[in-house]
Amino acid sequence: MTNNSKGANKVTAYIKDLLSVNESTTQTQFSVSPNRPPIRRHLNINKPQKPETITPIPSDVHDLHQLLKGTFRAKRNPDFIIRLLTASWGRITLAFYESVTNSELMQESVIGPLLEYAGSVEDITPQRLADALTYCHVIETISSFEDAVKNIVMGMSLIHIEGFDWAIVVDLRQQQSRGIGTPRIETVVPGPYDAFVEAAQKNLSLLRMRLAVPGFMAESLPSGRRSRGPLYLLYIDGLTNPKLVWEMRRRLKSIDVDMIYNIGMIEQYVQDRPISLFSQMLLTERPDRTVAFLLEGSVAVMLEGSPLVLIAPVNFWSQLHSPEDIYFRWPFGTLARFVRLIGLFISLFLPALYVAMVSFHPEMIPTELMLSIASARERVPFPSFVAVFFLELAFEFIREATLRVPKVIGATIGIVGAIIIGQAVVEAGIVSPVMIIVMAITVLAGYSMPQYSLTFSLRIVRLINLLLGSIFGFYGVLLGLVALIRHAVGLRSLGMPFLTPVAPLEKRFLTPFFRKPPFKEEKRPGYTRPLDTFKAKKVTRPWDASVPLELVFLDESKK
Amino acid sequence: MNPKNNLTGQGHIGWIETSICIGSFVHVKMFLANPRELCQMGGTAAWMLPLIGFFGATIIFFILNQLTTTFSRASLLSIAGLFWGRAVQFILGILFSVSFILINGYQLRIFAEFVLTTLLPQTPISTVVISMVILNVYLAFGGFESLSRTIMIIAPIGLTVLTLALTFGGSMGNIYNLSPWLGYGFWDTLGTGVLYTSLYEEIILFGFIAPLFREQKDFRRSGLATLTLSVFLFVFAQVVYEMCFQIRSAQQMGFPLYQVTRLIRFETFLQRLDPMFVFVWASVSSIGLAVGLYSGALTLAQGIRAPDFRPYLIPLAVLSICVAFIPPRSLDAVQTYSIMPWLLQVPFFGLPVVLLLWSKLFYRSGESHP
Repeated sequence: MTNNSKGANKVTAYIKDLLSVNESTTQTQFSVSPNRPPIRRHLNINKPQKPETITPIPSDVHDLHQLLKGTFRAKRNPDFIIRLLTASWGRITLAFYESVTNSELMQESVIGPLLEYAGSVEDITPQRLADALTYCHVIETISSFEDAVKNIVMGMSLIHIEGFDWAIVVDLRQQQSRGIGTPRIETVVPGPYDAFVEAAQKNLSLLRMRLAVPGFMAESLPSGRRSRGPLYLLYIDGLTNPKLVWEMRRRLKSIDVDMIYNIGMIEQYVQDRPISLFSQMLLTERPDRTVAFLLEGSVAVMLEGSPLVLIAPVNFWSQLHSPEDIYFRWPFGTLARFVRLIGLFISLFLPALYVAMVSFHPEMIPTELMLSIASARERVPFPSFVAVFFLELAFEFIREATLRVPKVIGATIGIVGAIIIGQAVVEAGIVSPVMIIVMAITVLAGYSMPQYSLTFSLRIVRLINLLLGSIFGFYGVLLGLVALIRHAVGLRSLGMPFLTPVAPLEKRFLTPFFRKPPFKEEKRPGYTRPLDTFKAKKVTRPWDASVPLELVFLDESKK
Repeated sequence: MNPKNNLTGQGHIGWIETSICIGSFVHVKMFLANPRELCQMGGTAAWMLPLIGFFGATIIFFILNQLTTTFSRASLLSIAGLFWGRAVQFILGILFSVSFILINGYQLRIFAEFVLTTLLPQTPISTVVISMVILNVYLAFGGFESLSRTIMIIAPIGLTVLTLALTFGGSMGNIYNLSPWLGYGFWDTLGTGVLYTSLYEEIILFGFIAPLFREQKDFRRSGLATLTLSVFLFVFAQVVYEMCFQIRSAQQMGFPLYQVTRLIRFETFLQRLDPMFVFVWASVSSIGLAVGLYSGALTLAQGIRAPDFRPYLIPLAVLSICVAFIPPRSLDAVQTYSIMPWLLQVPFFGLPVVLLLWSKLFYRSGESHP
């Protein structure tokens, strides 16, 4: 290559470098959506991280007992029982935790039938042994010691016959759980009064009692390295979009921790944006609400030991809805939704707007009212922000105290709080009476939200808005408002836009605000992309004289 | 599976959201001194100028539509790069980015002056400018999808308040303030109207966000909806403004629409509506300003063929602040800003025209699309 051509190449390379910032990506198409990361993170969750060791089950009784005693520290752990039965045909080892095993069931359905077994030991196979245990419904054959340990810690009972390198495990668990009670945080006036409890099986029964479809799935997934209870992934096969199920399963399987104590922890692990102030999923204690969401195409997650169920995807508006909206007639439901929407705005912005108006834009207020506010504030030495902040703190203290103190003196705390906040602070000239009214309305509006966790989110956002309103007046409130909306539109619930159907705008964008009569709601919400779009026939009131006959004929001709 | 149920169909922008979003970008100037300038240029027929400009802008939009149809909704800069090479694409990217930042900077300055005048007289201007720029960066960081969804929440409130304010304001006006009906004469009005095609120059953004549309039909719908919404609001606001003030006063009024809202009085509940109007207007404007910043970063990224526009947002925001402080006085900013659209319509409207001509005259269809 000549010097001239080398020089030309250098110049070309220099110009090329100057005109492009990232040579490796210049050939790719321009990325137009910053929300989608260019690098897809592959996660092979099914592949075990390290090879599992497999120890065969010792056929000798003494060896097996030694191994079990060593693993379960039987000497220091009297709850763990190893029992050796000597039957006419051989020796049987039973191993189980006494605290989680039903002893009567053990006696009647395992020990009795085994002792009465009439066959010879040479003929015993896992199948024959299972056939002998007719009262046991869940029986599994295992061949490794690791499987035996795994099953015992799950509460199963191990049965081993001397001389064989296999064993069977049977389910004789007895669940300690309270009875099905009434809802505590999602109370309604009309509607069912049952709520989930800590036992997942009971919760499943509450759901199956309502949902009579064979496609209702309750997939069992592991719930932590040292946790016993499984997670249940609930959905309706054939209705729920399989991609949602796949995505939720993927996220749940990715949780690799010691223990999941409550469903609230799972919420944080699987949320699209856990750092957000707003929860992008919904927690409910109501079976009817869970069923309603499942029928809308969402998936639900249930955890053994948790009386709440996690539902996703949901939109923001569903956090403003109460099951009552459906049970009431539609005008009341619609009114209730509007009241809550107004409550949302009041809870977020009223203190900030009040401070902004009083401090920066008093010209907005009618003269008489302005003079009245000014005279009420005359005795107060603190700026409005301090007064509002003081009241916020006082309300927080009352709320916390009411939660923590024994119930018998809970009412006293309320009275003390009311006296302090309602009367004493005004008389002492710390805050003005108008401020009390503003804060009382704000707090009440906040507690009108049906979703309990939303109240906490609103409180934090309210404080931020208050700060902005105190510094910049209306301009500050608008900064807070726009930033809040921007934040909310960026949220997703299991991949679905959180503010749908308003942003992005969809055809039925008024649905969250207007509760239509049930006979006019024939479609499921679009954001879950259900496989079966329609949930009702076009004409559900064919006997109604106001329904055009053509509709009835057209509907029948479809059949 | 029903195509509607297919989750992979997501990731494109909707035509209604886009229309309102770019509409808010176009309308930032309406809330500034634009109605006054129109009165100065068109006299009592100033309300006709946006209407005449609308026809010119529609032609430009159809040129854009033709280009994007031919090149599978590629960006204008990509098409320019295909025709004339990377160097030209780079230069055009810089040119458009600078143009958007200039617009953004001046709008920011006038906006901040307005906020100081109306809401925060004791606050330093830098506080308002910097806080707004931080908000704009945050808004633009999520991309156009996020911007359009944000405006979808604010727009209903904004449009309602604007309509109410203009209706109440208009009810206090006098229709005869619009006479003589043809202002300074038919030909003068027509000529000025053509010049004011620049009112809609922001529609060039459609040429840069074309790849975000799922279908060409959405692109076309969105563009026409933007222009229709814009012309309606421009004409409505201008008619109300002229009805409320006699033409001599209207030609000298500072922050015209704000003055309209100051006329409104609700004695019983809210004494004055203007701070509330400013509040809503500023919310819409903040999105418009963010779209300006986003446009600057997007064109720069497309010009230099960068894979992501977001790294340029903060540097361009800093530049925008610098531009905002170039004019020594508010008046200088307003004067420069009134001339700027006339000059900028040369590259903004010229590029699509030249590209279309080039594609018809010199481009062979066998060449690969960008």
